[in-house]
Amino acid sequence: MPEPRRSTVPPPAPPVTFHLELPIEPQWQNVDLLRLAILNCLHAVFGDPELSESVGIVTSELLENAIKYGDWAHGPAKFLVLSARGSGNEVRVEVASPVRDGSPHLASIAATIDWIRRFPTAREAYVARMRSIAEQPDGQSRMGLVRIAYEGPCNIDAVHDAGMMTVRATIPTVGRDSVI
Amino acid sequence: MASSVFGDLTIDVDDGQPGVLRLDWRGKSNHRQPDTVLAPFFADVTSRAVSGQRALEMHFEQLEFFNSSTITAIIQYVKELRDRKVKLTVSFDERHRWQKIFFDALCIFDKGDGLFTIRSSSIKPPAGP
Repeated sequence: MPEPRRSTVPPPAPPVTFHLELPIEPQWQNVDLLRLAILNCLHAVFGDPELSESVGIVTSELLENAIKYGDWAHGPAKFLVLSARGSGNEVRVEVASPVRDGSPHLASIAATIDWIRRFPTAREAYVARMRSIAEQPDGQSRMGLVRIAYEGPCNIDAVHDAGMMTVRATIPTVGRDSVI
Repeated sequence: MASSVFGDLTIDVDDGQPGVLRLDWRGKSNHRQPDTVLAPFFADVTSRAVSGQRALEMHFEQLEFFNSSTITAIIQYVKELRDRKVKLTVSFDERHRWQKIFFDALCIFDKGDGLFTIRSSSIKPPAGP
């Protein structure tokens, strides 16, 4: 499936409403399939290759985390759920996956989101994480959420309920270039 | 020219230019643990650069996508090359927003000592009337 290439600066994406929800087996090869699927769907809806590429990246990072850290052996679900919603001038991507109570991943996600919010801008968090990775090469990178917070740009939050964790990223469809 | 393939990612290595080892990244770097497959490759490239007293050029213009684990591997390699005093130039395509965001931020490792340089290779269209 070819990835769309940008040509000229597109007009602002129009407000649209849509909802896509997919149960996905937690297999690594599905990450890129879904990145491209979302990228192509949103390109068709919005006609904005940069926006669709960004949402594709957000989708792939959330899916990677869910597959890597989900409790696939003991959790209540054998599938993760990917949801993409368009409403007004934003797109929300959600990925739900089983997580065991007390899992270090739960605390890590919450701590990372809180850490990002402490910075005045997502770019500052991004650069701080880059420095940390360079200085502590053996530590966990935890770059995925920081990346999408800046690149989306997006607001991120997470909820944990009944053995499932849902991580949500909300991406504006207009005014995104102001972050770079 | 030799090519190394890591799943959907291919890195072409060109050692035909005197004093320079050129790496061209192509395809998609979406491996679950890219550091595990890239580390031996990077070690070999570094060894060749050091023993041949050559600078490295890494070109990302043809790269279609990388995941955040690849970002981590690249940052660590940039740091390692700096620590080993290997001169590195990276080149990217700023028309890709995701490349521009990463490589603009990677400038924090450019200390102005010539060891690390970043350049955008895209040609901007002429300004309108």
